[in-house]
Amino acid sequence: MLVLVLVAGGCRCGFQPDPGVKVVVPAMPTTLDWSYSDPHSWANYPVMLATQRGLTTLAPDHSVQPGLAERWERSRTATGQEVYTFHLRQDVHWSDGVTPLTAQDFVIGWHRALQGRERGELADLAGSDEVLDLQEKGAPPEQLKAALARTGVEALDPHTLRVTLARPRNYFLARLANVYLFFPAPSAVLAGKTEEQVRDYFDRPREGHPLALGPYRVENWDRAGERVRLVHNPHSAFQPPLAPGERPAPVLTLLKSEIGPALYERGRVDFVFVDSAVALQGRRPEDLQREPLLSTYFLAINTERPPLDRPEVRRALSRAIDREALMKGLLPAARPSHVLLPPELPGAASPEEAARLPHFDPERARAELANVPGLDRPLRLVYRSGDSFVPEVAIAERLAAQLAAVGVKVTLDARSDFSAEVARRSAEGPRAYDLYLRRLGADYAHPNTFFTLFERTGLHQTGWETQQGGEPMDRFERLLDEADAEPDEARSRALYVQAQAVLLDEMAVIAPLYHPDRYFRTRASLRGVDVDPFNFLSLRELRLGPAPAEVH
Amino acid sequence: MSAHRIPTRAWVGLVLLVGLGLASWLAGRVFPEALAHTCPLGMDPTHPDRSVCELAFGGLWVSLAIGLTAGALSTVLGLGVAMSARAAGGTVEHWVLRAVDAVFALPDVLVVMVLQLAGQSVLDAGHAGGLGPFGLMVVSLALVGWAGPARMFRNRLATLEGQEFIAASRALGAGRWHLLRVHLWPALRPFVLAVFLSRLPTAILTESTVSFFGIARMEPMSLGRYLGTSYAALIYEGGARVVLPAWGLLVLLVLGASLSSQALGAGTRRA
Amino acid sequence: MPPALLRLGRQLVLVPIVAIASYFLMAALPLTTADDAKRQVAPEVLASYRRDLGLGQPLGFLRPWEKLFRGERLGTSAQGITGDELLWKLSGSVGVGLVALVLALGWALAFALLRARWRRSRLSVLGDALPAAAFGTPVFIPALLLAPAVVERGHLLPELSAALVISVWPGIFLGTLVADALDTELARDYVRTALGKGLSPRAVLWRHVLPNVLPALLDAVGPVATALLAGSFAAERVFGLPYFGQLYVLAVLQKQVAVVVVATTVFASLLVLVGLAVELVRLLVDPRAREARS
Repeated sequence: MLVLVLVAGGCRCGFQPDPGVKVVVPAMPTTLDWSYSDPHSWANYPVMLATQRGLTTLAPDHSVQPGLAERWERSRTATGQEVYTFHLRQDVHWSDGVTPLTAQDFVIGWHRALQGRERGELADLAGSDEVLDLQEKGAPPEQLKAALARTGVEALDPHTLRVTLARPRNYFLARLANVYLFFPAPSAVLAGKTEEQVRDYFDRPREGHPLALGPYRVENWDRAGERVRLVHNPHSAFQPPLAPGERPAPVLTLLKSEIGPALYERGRVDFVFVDSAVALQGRRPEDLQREPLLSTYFLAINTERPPLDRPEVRRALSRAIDREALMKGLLPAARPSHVLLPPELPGAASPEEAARLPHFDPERARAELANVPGLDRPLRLVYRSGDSFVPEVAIAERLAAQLAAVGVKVTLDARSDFSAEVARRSAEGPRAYDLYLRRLGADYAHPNTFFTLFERTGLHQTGWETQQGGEPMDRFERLLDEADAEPDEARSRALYVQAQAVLLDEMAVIAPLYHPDRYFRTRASLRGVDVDPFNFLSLRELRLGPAPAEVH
Repeated sequence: MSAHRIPTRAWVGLVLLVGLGLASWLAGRVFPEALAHTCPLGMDPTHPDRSVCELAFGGLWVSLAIGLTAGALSTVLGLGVAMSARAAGGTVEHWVLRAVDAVFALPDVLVVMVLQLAGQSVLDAGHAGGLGPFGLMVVSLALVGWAGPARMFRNRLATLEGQEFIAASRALGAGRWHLLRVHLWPALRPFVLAVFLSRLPTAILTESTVSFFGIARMEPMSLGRYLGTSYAALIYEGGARVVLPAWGLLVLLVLGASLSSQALGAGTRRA
Repeated sequence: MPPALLRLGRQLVLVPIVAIASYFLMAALPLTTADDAKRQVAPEVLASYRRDLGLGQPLGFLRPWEKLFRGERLGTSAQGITGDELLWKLSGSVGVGLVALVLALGWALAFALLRARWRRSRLSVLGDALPAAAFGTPVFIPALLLAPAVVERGHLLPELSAALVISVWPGIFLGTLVADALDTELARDYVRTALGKGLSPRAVLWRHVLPNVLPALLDAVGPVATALLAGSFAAERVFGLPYFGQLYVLAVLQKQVAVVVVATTVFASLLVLVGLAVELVRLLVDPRAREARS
């Protein structure tokens, strides 16, 4: 006890266990190798976005702006391929201040990404099918290398990059801004290293490496101690915009904590997400900030399990849900919704088009659900257990109550192994769940990002590709394909709206519930920290205010 | 053993336990509406349509059911193992005791965690033979909890068998079964009850810790799971009203169980 | 063979059994790979995960150890930890556990003496209420109450608080045992004789009674060590200590087979070590144990 008291007393001398600005993140990165990446990629975004940069960037209004490329041209070949020629900024150097950014950096980075764990993300690139196929077959390395050389990414000269897509894709420029698999890798440094050495280069930061382009770079990643330390990169061409008296933060520490909000209250950390139903329902602190996400929380229906295999039953369920009542009083603000594409997304459905999709209509729902054979069994609703910024427990309980009002009995099943449970198939073949709740977030500002999940290769787990002989799914994918390739914005928007109608109305695979927001708290002395609409913590504009930041 | 020899402290403990059980039964099962509408502690933030009292008392009822079943099961299992070990004697007894020690050495929480994960996947695959989450929790708690009682029963039996009246009875030609039924069992009975009561809070606590790690799936909500999933409220303003009642109920339960268990155990020791 | 070695051998058998049992138990669980991704993982990437774990291979259960000794990362993908990191984490947890053990012994002695004093006063009810309160409190509750005050303060403050929090229940538990043993010993004839000879009660307590109580204390060290380590799982999570307990729970939840196997085995070995240490101490302090052996 005495020792404790002594140590506690000694602590008041202002000793700092970790220097600099402290940011509480919900999870530590799993890798810093942005080209090779990892399916748990969301946890890596805060670090990647602060330290790297894409060919393009997104403005607050979601329009595409120049990034590493200062301009680009777009053309089509006779064979229907789409060719982008990017002209890189000439003043960009890696964080050692010497190595310039070259077009070759993209070639090397993308070639590695094509062999990484998320290589499917690069499937639009011309020639990528062959590369993916060869890896599937376990082809010899020389063959793979030759196929990689044939893919649609070439350095024409040190500052000109030519990218060829197998088919026109109007979302491609938006993807380049955020999806970090498309970020460049420092090819000059990686030259001559084996694959194992390259991975070590990224995952064990030391002596100023790995090189960065963004305003901060990773100085230290204590994997065992679960801390990531970023330091300012003075050589970056993308400095945070400084107002008079402001300066970039010299050191930033990312850490994980169960009790982040309590630490913030005591002034020991400078940024924290407020991801708890309890905190959001109580007294709201003055510095609580809300970021509306480009995201949709929805109820998915297992289309293979009777009686849910009938579209009219699924539609009726969607009509039985009162989204306003569902969200009432749960959060400081909520955007209940019955559409998949958030209204502020470029290319979303107009209010008139949205009104045609299934929405709350209790009388009609009750009539449609009366005497449906097979509906006397309870439906099992699976949702993710644990606290989150989506009040899932409350939503699930209210959903059960609302569906009970139209005569549908629902049992709740909170799962820590949510994704495995939703994917699990019963002995008879179809998946075992009846209904599940999930949040879908945009990775970039384009309708396409909301539909990927529901394509044939997507992890929607609803089995709707098997319904009606697969015809609706084929039509859905055709609509998306056309929309993705359509250069005219209005026409492409109309096609996306049609695809949304197939998913929500004709087949009624999912019933959207609301568009979630993220809440966070940050010190006034900390400027420019933000959560972007893609739910990524954005540190690239972080700077300290005029008064020296007081950190205890 | 007649009633008047049960110590007062045991009575206090038993009354406390029965009182808690009765209260939770009345509040959670018979008049659930009453608590839902007139809870001085208000609504639970995570379950905004349910009151704190409803969840705590309703949970207590479920937890008592789990604790009683799991406690009984592990006590019976332990008793069975101890008796067969004692009956076999020699090397068999020695090895059984080693196995008991091995099981006893691993922390309950850890083993229950792994058992729950494994059991849940069996349950999902539909091979559990009608075992629900409740049954699974009871079984995993019992599988973990038998080692302690087995150790205690075996030692107790060894002590009893060493006593003079047993030796005398054996000298008079009494069979093993006769000894067990007439002499050992009556002397063992209060001890069995004591061990059983001591298992009750252990089961509930283990369940709550496993829930804290996000594994258990008891539905309807048990007290353990309620405590283990709403603990985070403690760091927020006004969160204490959510966590403290459940915690208080748990402490009372432990107090009741340990009072009666210790008094009964001590009573038999001096007998 | 000397009996001590025989005992050692019997204890050590536990280690490989735990290693193999944990591997097969974990390998039987379905592998989670999907997570929040929108697209399916390529089947060949999945297959590489399975190969990585040695699933479906006859000697697959040796795979985690192979990786450990080669210094590779345990666990699928870039996650998981290396042997060095594991050792670092283990030393953190063991350090916390040792401090907690010392604290627990302190609590035990204090509680035993207090209870002996309370016995004769009106406070005797505290002798029952305190253990009940200590036992009825899951570790995460006091940890959560204490954590905001100490986390991110440095100077090993979170570590010491974690030790403090997890030591309470084992301490009181030991204290009850010691107090019971004290009661029994104090009622014995030799105490009366010693007092009759004119020794001061204090001298009798320290020189004659406590050495006789010690074996009871030693018997309980094993279960207490187990309880301390188990308690550290919850405490480390709340205090944000990235040590062994934290690692273990996450590995079990994420079904990282290799990490779970290695960690469980290390865990079992640790408990075996504690058991051996207890035996050694018993040999030193308890003449009865020495006699039984010779």
